[in-house]
Amino acid sequence: MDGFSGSLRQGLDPNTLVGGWVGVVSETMQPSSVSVWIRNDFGTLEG
Amino acid sequence: MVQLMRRRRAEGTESAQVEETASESKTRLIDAIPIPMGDPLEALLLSNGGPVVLRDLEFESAALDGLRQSGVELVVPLIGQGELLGALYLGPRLSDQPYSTDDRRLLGSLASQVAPAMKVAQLVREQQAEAKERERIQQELQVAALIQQTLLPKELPAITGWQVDAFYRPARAVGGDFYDFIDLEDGRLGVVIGDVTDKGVPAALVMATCRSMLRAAAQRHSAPSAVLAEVNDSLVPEIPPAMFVTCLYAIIDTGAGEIVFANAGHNLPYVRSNGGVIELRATGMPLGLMPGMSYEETSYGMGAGEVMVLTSDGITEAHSPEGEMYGFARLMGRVGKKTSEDDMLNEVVNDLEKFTGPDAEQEDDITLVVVKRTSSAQGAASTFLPLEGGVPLQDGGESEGPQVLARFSVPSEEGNERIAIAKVTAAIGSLALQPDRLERLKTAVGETVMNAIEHGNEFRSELDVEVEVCANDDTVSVLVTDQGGDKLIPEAAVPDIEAKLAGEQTPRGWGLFLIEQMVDEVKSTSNGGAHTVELVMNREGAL
Repeated sequence: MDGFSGSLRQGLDPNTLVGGWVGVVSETMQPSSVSVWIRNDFGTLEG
Repeated sequence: MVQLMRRRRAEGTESAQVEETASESKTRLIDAIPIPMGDPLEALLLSNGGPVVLRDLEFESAALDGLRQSGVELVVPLIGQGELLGALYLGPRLSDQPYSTDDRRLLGSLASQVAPAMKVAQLVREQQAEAKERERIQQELQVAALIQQTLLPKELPAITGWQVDAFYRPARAVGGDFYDFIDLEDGRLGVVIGDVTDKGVPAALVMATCRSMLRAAAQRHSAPSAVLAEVNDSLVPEIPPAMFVTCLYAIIDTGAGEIVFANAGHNLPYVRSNGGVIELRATGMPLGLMPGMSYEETSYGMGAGEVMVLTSDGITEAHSPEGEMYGFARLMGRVGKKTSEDDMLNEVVNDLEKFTGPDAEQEDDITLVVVKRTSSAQGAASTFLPLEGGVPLQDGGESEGPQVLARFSVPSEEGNERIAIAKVTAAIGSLALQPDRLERLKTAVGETVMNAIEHGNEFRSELDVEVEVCANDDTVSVLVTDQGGDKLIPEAAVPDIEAKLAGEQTPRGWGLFLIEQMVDEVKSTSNGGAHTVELVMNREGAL
């Protein structure tokens, strides 16, 4: 969580932010499945 | 640790899946289902603002159906500035515990922090992309400029009885102007001026193609109209859509003084004739638009002292600080003024610069070609003189002796020493002589050529003064030869007014005295029919 908060403040690229967001949620909520959708006219995700 | 693994585009959306790589978590991946704009689920997520449990929803929605079929239980919207930017989809918890109010509050809080950070990250990415694009454009312009500069002539034709000058200054964005001189048989010279629509590399490549086609066609056809027609037909299938080339092609019969030209939509030429300014007209479509075009031909007989001026639209369409266009009328007026300097090229350029103002950013390429018939002496096959800073002429082989930088002749008419000075200056431009030494050499050249015209050839315009410019690692030499018969070349004499009045000194002797003071060495030779004065200037201290 701390690392994710740091990356938010540092304004990293969208990939890192989304990855961090999904990671934090997965670790804290332990969902059986997870996925993220980003509207493509907002930002580009490059895997 | 969770990593983004791939992206997927579907109906205007992108999605990302995640993968557990460093833990034993049993979280599985599901397809990221887009929520299209206008879907009722989008409206609900925007109005609710926070995580939404899907089982509580009761409305028709394709996105909702898809999410339910994928086993999604909770949707966490990513909202920024009132827009749905994305969403996180979670299946039921592995522990089978429901998402509590606190869980949903935490998820909502995280999403509210991610959204602005995403926005900032997006802006940074856009700025980086813009900087990258600017750099790409700059590199493209550099490439375009390099192509243009490589293909533009590095030498000016030097023809007895004619003076040819050219000026080219690219705009910052590098347009598609070009000009060319083509050496033809029988003492004829082809002159090309053109302008490719568009800018940058595409224009430069079309210019290069067009130039090659013109050079090839010029050797096959003796009529300018036939040359343009062939180039047009060749260019049509090659040229990118919405591009074309305006071009004027003229053939100068340097002996007879006749200029014949055809015009493919380019600026019309002006001639400052002995009776005033004339606009020479010839019509024709620009090159590359439609096949099968024919081009009108116009001819004009140039008299001694008459000047033809070819321009690009970068001159006529330049603007003053007040927004006024330079225009054809102003150009025509400028061409019609004859000054004591009689330097058409610089006078037009200076007038344009005065009109646009000192701080004006040049809007388009500026190209100017000036062809003057200096005398009615029979023209000779052209040689080419290097433009200032250009590539020196090679005098055959790679010997270690002096390199011939230029060789030309001027008719024995008053004032032609200025032509000689200009051509010698252009020829040695790349040698970087110190300015004071260059000025001294120019003075010596002027004085020597003037002596040759006046005292050697006695102003007989049918006799030429030959000039040759050579250089080796140590010296620059200018050899000036007149056809003065068997008259003796006087010794350089210290000017003495009393001796002159007594007829004991000739003005030519005075000229030689001055010349000797200007350069490092002066050698005079005579073969009975011709007198040659060689001016030698050491290159020591070259810049």
